[in-house]
Amino acid sequence: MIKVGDLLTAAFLLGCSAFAALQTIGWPARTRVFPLAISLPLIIMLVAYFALVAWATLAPQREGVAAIVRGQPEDEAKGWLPDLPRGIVFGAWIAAYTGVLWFAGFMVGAPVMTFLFLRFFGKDSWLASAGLSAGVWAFLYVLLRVLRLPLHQGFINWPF
Amino acid sequence: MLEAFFEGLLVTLAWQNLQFLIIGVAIGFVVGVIPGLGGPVAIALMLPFTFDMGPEAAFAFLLGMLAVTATTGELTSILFGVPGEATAAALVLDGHAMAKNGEVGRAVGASLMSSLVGAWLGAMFLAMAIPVVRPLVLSFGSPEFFMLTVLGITFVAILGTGSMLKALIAGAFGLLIAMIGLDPLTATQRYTFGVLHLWDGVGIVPAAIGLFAIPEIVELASRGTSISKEGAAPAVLNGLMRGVKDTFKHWWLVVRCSAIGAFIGVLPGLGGSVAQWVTYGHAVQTSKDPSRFGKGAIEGILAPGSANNSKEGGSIIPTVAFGIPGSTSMALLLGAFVIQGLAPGPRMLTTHLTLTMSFVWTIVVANLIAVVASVLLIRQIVKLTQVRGSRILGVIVIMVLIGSFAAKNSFLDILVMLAFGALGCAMVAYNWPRAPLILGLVLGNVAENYMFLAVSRYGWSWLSHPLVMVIGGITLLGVILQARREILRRQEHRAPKAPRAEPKS
Repeated sequence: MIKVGDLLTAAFLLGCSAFAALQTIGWPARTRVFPLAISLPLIIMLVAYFALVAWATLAPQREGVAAIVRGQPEDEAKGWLPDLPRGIVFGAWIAAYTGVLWFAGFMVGAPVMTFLFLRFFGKDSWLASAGLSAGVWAFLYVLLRVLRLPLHQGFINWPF
Repeated sequence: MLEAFFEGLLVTLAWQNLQFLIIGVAIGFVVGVIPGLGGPVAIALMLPFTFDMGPEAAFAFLLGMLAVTATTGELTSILFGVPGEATAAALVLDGHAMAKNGEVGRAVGASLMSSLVGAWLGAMFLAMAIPVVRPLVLSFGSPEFFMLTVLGITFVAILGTGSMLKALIAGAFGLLIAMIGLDPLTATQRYTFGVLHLWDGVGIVPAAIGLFAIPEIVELASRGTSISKEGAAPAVLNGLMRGVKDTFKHWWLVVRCSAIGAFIGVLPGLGGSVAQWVTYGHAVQTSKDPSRFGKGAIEGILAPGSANNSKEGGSIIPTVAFGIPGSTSMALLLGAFVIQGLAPGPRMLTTHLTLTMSFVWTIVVANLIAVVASVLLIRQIVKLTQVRGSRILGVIVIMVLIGSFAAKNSFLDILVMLAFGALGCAMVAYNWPRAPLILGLVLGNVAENYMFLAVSRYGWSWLSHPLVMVIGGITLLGVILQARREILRRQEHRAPKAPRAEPKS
């Protein structure tokens, strides 16, 4: 059975490659040689993929065709995303984390988000959450102040 | 020559140099573990500290640091599924799978031992290549380099063990992403959407972190347990010894991959990101049962592990002999030559031969120290896979974000990493192989540059160059063998299954 997400992934790739091919119109010949040499075969392969999907759906007894379309999991034991809602919440949390880092910078944003994550997502104790967040802050302090790594400092002028 | 070789050892072991080597190893150990902060960043940060050092101490410090980042970068790939270096991404596939199956000690043992053997073979390669390096490197021009990238691209099909079609699509998509940025010939913008950050193309580091680390992190978060699925602490030292034995059991694979790594290291512009995937593909190609790869095959650790470290020895050759840096790290190392008042070139192979030989020994000693330190710390390192998932996630996420940012000091790289992370999640969930995509991304620009250089310089007559024909023949042979293998595999699947012996490489 072909999964809808599988088809959506292929459709996304097809959309990207079609866009890439169309974008080359008007480019100098030398500029577009490689992008076209890649995007056109890619489109052909993706069309072939959809044709194989249709074939596998119409003729389910052809197990070989279905195997090409399905592929093979990188880790069969994984059973990927056993808890999808939790995974989605985590994905949203990473997005929020990025937003806070952009606004408040690494030195403040990272310890705060680590604390919130440990306390409310991981259900850790207040003490353990605070301790680990302090560790993250110390690590970032070493990177920023001692090694002088130019980490993003956000848009607020923090006193530390 | 032999005298200089042993004088190089004495120079390396002299306390005034050894102490800086140890400091360099310690810094490299930490930097290697942090994703994104690889060898180039470490050298860039530490270069100013070498002003007051002598040449021997400065190179012991810098090379010691560089040699170790490749080794410790592999540890995070195995333990957390987060590549500590872009050059360690291949180890996520089988190394992390083993960690989750409770075989973390074995995976780490195999990684450390293969790294050590690889580094030593790479150093030997460097020592032996010094007298013959000139004709070797000069025989390779842009046509030969282009053919080598074509050879690398054909590994795309090999890296997809399930569906060759999906692997080819993923690889072609990686090549397409590599086209983002300024066209090297006409400086025309390609797929940049007017965003200045994309003029330089999509970075390998955020792409590798997104593709490989984010799916592991999301999976860990959704599972809500520790990294290791085994409840009890695994027998770490036993596992470690098993991993060490595995290295010697598959010694021929380790030697072959070390040689491939060292050779790729010699060639400017290819580097470790290519070496790991080419050797991983080689391990898959030569395995009797490729279906084990990605699920915890020990050869999937040994091959890239040995190549990652042997390539360091290889990449020093053109840097020292011609002043042609084989990688970003080597380009930065050229800065150290300038600081020390040295000029890379023939004098490094005559007047300063002892110093050049000390480079060989520095790599050997630095890796030995790193492996001993890792073995001593192994129990503590392995305990990390037993820590509660939520706690380890809090730390991994910040490492991933810093790693993506630090590669170019750009916040947009974090967004690039997240975009690749979303793509990586979809690819894992729906069985699209990720390795071909990253290989395509690594090789796309290199292939384009070399092809246009070859055409500009030789027209189409470069196709008849002897070395081009040899590499082309090897490429064609590889494709034919892979196609034959695919056909046999399908026939085997149709036939009733018979018990199979333990595969050996």
